[in-house]
This record gives sequence, C-alpha cells and structure tokens, in this order.
Amino acid sequence: MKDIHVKETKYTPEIIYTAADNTMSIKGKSYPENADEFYAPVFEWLEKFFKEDNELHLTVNIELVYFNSSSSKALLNFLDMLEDAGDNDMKIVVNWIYDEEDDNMLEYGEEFKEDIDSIEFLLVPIESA
Amino acid sequence: MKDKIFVIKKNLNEKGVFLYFSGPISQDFLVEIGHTLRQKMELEKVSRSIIVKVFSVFIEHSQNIINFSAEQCNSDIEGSPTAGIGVIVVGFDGDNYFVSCGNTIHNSDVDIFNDILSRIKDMGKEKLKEYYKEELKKEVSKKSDGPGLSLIEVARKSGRPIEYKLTRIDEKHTFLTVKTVV
Repeated sequence: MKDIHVKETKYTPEIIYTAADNTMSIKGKSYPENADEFYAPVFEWLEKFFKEDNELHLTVNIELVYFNSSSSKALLNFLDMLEDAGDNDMKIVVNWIYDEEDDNMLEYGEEFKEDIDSIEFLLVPIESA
Repeated sequence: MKDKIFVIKKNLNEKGVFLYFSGPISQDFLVEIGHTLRQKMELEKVSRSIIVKVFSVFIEHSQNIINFSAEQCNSDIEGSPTAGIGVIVVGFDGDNYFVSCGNTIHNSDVDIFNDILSRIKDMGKEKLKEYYKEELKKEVSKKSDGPGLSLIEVARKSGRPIEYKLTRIDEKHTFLTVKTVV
C-alpha cells in the first residue's frame, strides 16, 4: 500500500501510514462536529489495506491529547476493525501514547483496553512536555 | 438612556460569568473560542485537569447546539459550514467553574433528552462509565450521532450532578438548559 499523510488541522489529527515500517500514527487533537465524516476515508483505506495487503503485521501509534465524544465513537470503530484483522491472524500492536501527567488520557486508554482481545494494546506514557 | 449592554455585563460578572454567547454557533467559532478559553485559564494558572474538563464540556455543549438545536442557520450550498443557534455560558462561582448551555429543541426530541438526562443526573462515576461504554457500542452501529454519548461525557466531567430544565415554548418547541459544574 502507498504511504498516506493527512495533515493536522486545528481540530483534527495528523494521520500517517508508512509502508516501509508498516506503521500508522494518529497524532494531535480530534474534535470535529462529525467525526464519522472525517474518519470515513481513513476507514476505507484501512479496509483496503486488510483486504489487499499481504503484510502480516501493523503497528498503530495513537497519540491524542484531546478528543470529543464523536471521535471516541470513531476510535472504537477503528479498534473494532483492527480487532477483526487480529482475529484473522494479523499481528497488530496499538500503542496508546499519553502524557504521563494526563490522567484523563490514561483513563480513556484503560477503558479501550478493557474490551480488547485479539490485538496487543499497550499504554505508553511519555514525559510531560 | 441606560447603557443596557453595561447592565447585562455587570449582571453577568456578578454571577461569575466571564464568557457569554447567544447566537449562531459553528465549528470554526467553537474552535477559536475554545482556544481563547484555554488560554485565559492557563494564564490564571488553573490546574491542567480542570482546564481539560471545562474545555471538554464547552466543546460537547457547543457541538450539541450545532447538531441538535431546532434553530439552525444553514445555507443550502453543499460544504458550507453549519451553525446551530443557542446560548453558551462559562463562569467561576468562587469555588468551581461552571458551563451552561441552552437551545431550542423540537418537542419530538424532548423524550430522548429527558430520558438520558434524568438517567445520568443520579449516576455515580462507575455507573456513568458503564453507561458511556454501553452507549458507545450502541452508537457505533448507528449511522448518525445521537446526543446520548455527548451528554454522558459531560456528566463524567462534572463534579456535581448536572442540572437541566425543559421549558415548553409552543406546540412545536421546547427550550433545553443544561448546567454543569466542573
């Protein structure tokens, strides 16, 4: 698959996929008023990726500092897709990256982690900026 | 002549209100005001967790106005920004920050709002978390967003039970007010 790069805006995150190391990253803030609309092309891309690509692994780095409730729905959708791929024997690692002083983001990460079975979901604290 | 704007400002300030807006609210608008709100609180050395909570409640309320206000201010041109008409208030009562919002809703939506708000009003932290997860999964299977997830998120950020009021305007419309104390 080709690399993708969705640029960050004031209220949507940067989304990158690099084929060279099979890594996807979502970084920044996410609070569009309709998150489904914003994430739809990313989900389409991901569906294609799982269908067409013969890669056996994918690393996803999620480093969000803030997201709204509409985006949390999109995130769950996203994780569900990753789980389905995990069920089909693809090795997927999700790194939930958060500022070590941000209890809020840690809590969200823990909540997503609770419902995950077939992929690796790691909580990764980073030093406060 | 009495300066009415000065009177309004004075009244609001006496209640601790430092941000008051009534009119069309769009995504661009809430992004800029939200940013200024954060800046103001950072300058006043408010703790980071309180800033995040106030900001989050402000965003959820404003987006609920965009998505669910019965009074809309939209053009037919595709891709043009949508705006919902409503009121948003942020203040500090001496001990806590509060965020209130108000907007007109259709009478046909009253039951939806009443059902969710009456449920979350008395829920504790754990119950709210369970309800959030339940609603999150339900919403994922639906095409469009309902107000449920957003209101539960607001309640989770609130330090006290949220207060709300539904005031019937006429046979088609009701005014909804929600107050959140962070």
